[in-house]
Amino acid sequence: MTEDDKRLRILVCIGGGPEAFTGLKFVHRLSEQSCADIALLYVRPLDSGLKSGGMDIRVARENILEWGLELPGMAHLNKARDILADLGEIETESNDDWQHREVSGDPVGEFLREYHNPCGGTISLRLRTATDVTTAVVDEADRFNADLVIIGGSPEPVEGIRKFLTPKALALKIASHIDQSIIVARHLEPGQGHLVCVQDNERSRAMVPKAISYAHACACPITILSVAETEEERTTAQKAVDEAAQTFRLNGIEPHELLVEVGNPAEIISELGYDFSLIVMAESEKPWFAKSFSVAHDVAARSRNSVLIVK
Amino acid sequence: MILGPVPEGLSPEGWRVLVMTVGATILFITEPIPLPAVALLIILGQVFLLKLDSTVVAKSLMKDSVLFIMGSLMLAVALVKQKLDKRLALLIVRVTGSNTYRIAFGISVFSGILASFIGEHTVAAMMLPVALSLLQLATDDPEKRRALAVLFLFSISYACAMAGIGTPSGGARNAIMIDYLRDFFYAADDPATYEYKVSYLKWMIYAYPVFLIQLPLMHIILRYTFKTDIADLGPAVEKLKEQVGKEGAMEGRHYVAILLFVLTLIGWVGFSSEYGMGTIAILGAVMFLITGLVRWQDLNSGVNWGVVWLYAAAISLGVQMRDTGGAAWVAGIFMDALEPVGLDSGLGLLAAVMVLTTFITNTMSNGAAVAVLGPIVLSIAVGSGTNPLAVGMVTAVSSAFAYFTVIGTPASTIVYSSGYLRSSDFMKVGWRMGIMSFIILALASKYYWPLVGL
Repeated sequence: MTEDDKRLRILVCIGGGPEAFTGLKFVHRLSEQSCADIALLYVRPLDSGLKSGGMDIRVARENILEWGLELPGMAHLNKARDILADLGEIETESNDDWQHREVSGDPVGEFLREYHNPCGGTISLRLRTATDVTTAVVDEADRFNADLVIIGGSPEPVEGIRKFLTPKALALKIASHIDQSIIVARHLEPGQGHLVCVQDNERSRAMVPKAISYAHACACPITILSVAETEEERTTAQKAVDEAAQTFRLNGIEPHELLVEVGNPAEIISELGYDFSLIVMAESEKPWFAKSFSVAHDVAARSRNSVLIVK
Repeated sequence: MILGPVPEGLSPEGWRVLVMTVGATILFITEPIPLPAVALLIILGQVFLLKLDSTVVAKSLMKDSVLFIMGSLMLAVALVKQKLDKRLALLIVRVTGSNTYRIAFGISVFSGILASFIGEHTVAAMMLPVALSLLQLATDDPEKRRALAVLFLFSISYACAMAGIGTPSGGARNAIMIDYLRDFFYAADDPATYEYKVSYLKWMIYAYPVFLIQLPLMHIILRYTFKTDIADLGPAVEKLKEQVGKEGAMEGRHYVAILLFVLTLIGWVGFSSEYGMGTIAILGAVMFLITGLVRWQDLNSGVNWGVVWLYAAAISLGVQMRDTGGAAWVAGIFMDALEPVGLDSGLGLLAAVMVLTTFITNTMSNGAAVAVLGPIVLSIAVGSGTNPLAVGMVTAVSSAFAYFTVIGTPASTIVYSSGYLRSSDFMKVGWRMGIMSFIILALASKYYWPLVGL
């Protein structure tokens, strides 16, 4: 296994709001520990024909490029690049060239720009166009072979009756469809520790080693939580916590706190998780269209801070 | 709906056409399938549901307005490719100086005057980099830059939108309305109907002053809605002059392009009544190809041909609405609804048509709005005894009042693609613009149009 193979590959989706930019500090923390390859992605929906009156907006975009101006997505990506450069993640000599690529056939939609970080990893800025943003993010995560995807969530969760009236947030839609572990980011500042949520089942056990690797990469304190739905299930929850704690200890991490609670799992996890940088949960077994009804995705929807769904 | 009972007073064919129209309108707005597919469905519907001969349907698709749409789109791409925008930028800043608001007004005036002749998408595509370039040179502060962007970009898009009604060649909607008026009311053997064959110059007499009056009022509204801290763009203007200066003097190809554009314009004004606006537009596009100023590949990739299909199919459906009595039936329902509130004739009717068109044009492209509404409002005019020409003009003019949404006009969509604007910006300024335009159009239809024989 080469050094490159071991490197964490993180895809950060820029453009969904300020939360993804805030998450770059967390990305830097991960990269400091494991020298990550980082891809910053901006997906712009394809322009629709009738709306531009029959002359494709591409003509206007080509004109903008010919003036030497940057397309909107490029500006967002450059802002993210500047944040990473300020954090020391990008080597000082800059690369000013956008390379055109044609992944889905838009001659002015898709560009790539690459930098290197001091430890040897790469940082790429990727501008893509697609009719469906979710599909493009899923596709790019596969192409990049990402280990972890970070996408900004809406800062305030949608609650009450509005939850049934408003369309599903893009971040949650992507979380349902993507095959890689994903962080729905909200105020994603490193340093306040991870809340690792476990259950007495195989999926949860399979999640623990990944949670350990992220804990190592972040060098963050760990709290382990299991929520039993009834008092009778408390013993099983306690068992899950103890097992997970043992696995963490065997891997050189002493959990900061072990918690067992009884009640509605999504409510309790969201409430207790508020004090942490990140809530770490295993992905549900449900198919993509039913994931909203799983605890992990429910927590991602209702939490006020970041949630990592490990896949 | 097709299988349901046919409403009283309507033929089965008329009912089917109305169902198709409602279906097409829903598909225009919601876009669950590609828009060109909607056009193809309209064509298939006419053959399978209305039992029309396919040759008859095919013939109904190609009209002068459709030729005009094709030709003007090709001209739009050809003109943008000439890179005359940098010269234009230089001309604007030379005229306006470096004061921010004067530049914004200058951008509006140049955008408006150009868009009134060559279509708003052309001008928006040419002016967008001018505005973006000034923004980038003016400041690095994101907040200040956005404030400036909102002022400049709306100066382009709203000027283009309201100018598009100034002349028949300003937009597809005008050509569509001219076709409807001629098809519905003109008869070569009846001199009383000659007024419905609207010439280029006559349209300008009716509509151009409406645009010119709105232009400074638009600037005042923008100025007070989107204030900016940057009062002077002196350094940015100097840098822009320096950048454009590097391009060197205008070359022969630029002069040829300007000459071809002027000749096309002369053709529209002087010969469109005889040969049709579409023929002149096609001629202009062909001249750009023959002289090598533009490549066919550029035209082919820059024009969305699906939109041409869409307009053709919508116009063809509009003709069927008239022929089957569907338009008259819908018009009757409108009249019944408007009568109790006294809006069923005269200025009241014109105001109601304005509101209806403004609502529809904010949910779909203005060309499609006129194609869908045209047969209905013209039937209302006939039913109410109001001059169809006045109702047609009001519909075409108010289709430019798409100030509230991004998708309302091509120019808005193009400037929105810059990434600086938010959807809420359109609502913030749109209602002020809407009220202003309503008042101007109402005053024009009451006091100005009667003076010029409308």
